Amino acid sequence: MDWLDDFYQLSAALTDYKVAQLQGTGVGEDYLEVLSTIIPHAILAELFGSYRSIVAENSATPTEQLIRDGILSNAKLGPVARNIIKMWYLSIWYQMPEDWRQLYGKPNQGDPKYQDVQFVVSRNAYIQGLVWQTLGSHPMGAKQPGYGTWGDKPSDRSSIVSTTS
Amino acid sequence: MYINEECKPIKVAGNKLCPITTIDELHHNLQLAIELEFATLPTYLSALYSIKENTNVCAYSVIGSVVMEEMFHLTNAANVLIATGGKPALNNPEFIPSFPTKLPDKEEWFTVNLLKFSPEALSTFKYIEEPAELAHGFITIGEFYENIIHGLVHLNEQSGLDLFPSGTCPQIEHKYYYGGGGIISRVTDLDSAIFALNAIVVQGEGIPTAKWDPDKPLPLDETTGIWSGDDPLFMQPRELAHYYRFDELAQGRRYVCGDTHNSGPTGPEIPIDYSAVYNMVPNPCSKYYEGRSELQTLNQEFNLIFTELLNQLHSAFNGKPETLEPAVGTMFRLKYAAQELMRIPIPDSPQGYYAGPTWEFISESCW
Repeated sequence: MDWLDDFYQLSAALTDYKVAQLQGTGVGEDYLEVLSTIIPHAILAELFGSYRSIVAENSATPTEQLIRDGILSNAKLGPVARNIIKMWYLSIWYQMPEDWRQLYGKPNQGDPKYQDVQFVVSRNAYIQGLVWQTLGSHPMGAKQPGYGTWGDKPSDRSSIVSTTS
Repeated sequence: MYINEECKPIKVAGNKLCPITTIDELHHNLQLAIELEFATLPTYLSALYSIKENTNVCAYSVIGSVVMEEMFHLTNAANVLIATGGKPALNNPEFIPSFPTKLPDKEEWFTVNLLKFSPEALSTFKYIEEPAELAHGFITIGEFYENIIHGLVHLNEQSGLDLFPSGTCPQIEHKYYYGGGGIISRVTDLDSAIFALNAIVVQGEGIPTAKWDPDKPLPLDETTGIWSGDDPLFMQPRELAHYYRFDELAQGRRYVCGDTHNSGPTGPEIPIDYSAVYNMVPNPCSKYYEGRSELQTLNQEFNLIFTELLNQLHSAFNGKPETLEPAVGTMFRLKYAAQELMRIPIPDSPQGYYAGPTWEFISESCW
């Protein structure tokens, strides 16, 4: 059961970041461990399988729409996919919705430190949350941007070269 | 395997440094000094940033402290160049070597590679900071600076030459430089120029001594180890010279009172975990990323930030010292971009290598 590649491919589609950028956070394996500890493996296999079929389908419909229809609108897979997005952006595992837990939830399948309650995945993961760079900001107190940079105009990664010279 | 194969000391022809007799030669050597100090940074930073988060805490802080001092050295050399009427040049592709490289001060007896944090990397670091007393017959950084100091003294004695002219570009002063390495002082005459250059040698190799004895107990401070001369001269905590700081890491032990050069460090063990390190490919270069567009893009992003940094530093040393402040922000962005690359496995690498930045200056025409 090696889902890391599947996990990165699906995560890239769900977050709109490149696989390499997600790998570059260094915490993807931690997220997959959380996910595969809390979510029943049959459901994860179905989720990754659905995404693989969507890619293989090579349909005229945009992939984004296929993911909305096939995964995000699915009562079993949708909440899992949403939790993956939230984990990447906010580094927080959110408790699965009550109705989902009633239908599909199972006791913890691995490291007992990961239970289906809300928690920050790790100290380092918090720093690596995608939300910071998406906002053009930084995790305060944890990833310093340099004295005075708070007075600079926000910039995004596509305009990293300033005119200073 | 890199260092052992390539770094056997080989005595080269023309191993002597030429005496400096003209102002142009002085400026050339000070420019080389800036390039030399800068060339150590990709080497040290490659190892530093390959260390996984929250691991190897001691090694991380030691390498980081040396990096801070190398930037202090660069600034000192640049200030001397500016004070003698020269113009530091940092924003061109030739400023930064392509690795593996030899250092630009004719220290041709070892090769500098960009390596992850490893025993091989520490060997390279020790070669870079090797005290002159250990490198018999080979040129060291200390001797390179000694030659510059002799040149300054020689030129200062010549009548009719104004070695420290008025109206030169503003130097980097302490108000623009914060966060470590030492207190920057303005260079206005021979004494202040020699003071600035001595700071470089003392922090790197330790205080030069006329009668060096490897079995004599090193002059130690009660708590921190070998006296490097840092305090109170340069307003820094007492620390080992770079060579011995790296030796402590290489041997995994602290130097304590009574230790000599020959005894090596006999103090408490330093916990080092070489497995908690991203397996960065040695001497990353862009050919490793061909056909891997996501890695190419991230490496290009790194090089654009790196280029921006060199442009800012050039500007700071050529009339706009206030540019050093935004340059510090650029240094942080460079760090985060480097760390991002180092966490990414290179697809299908038989050795399981991870990516790393290539440290290239990108000319404006290539943007």
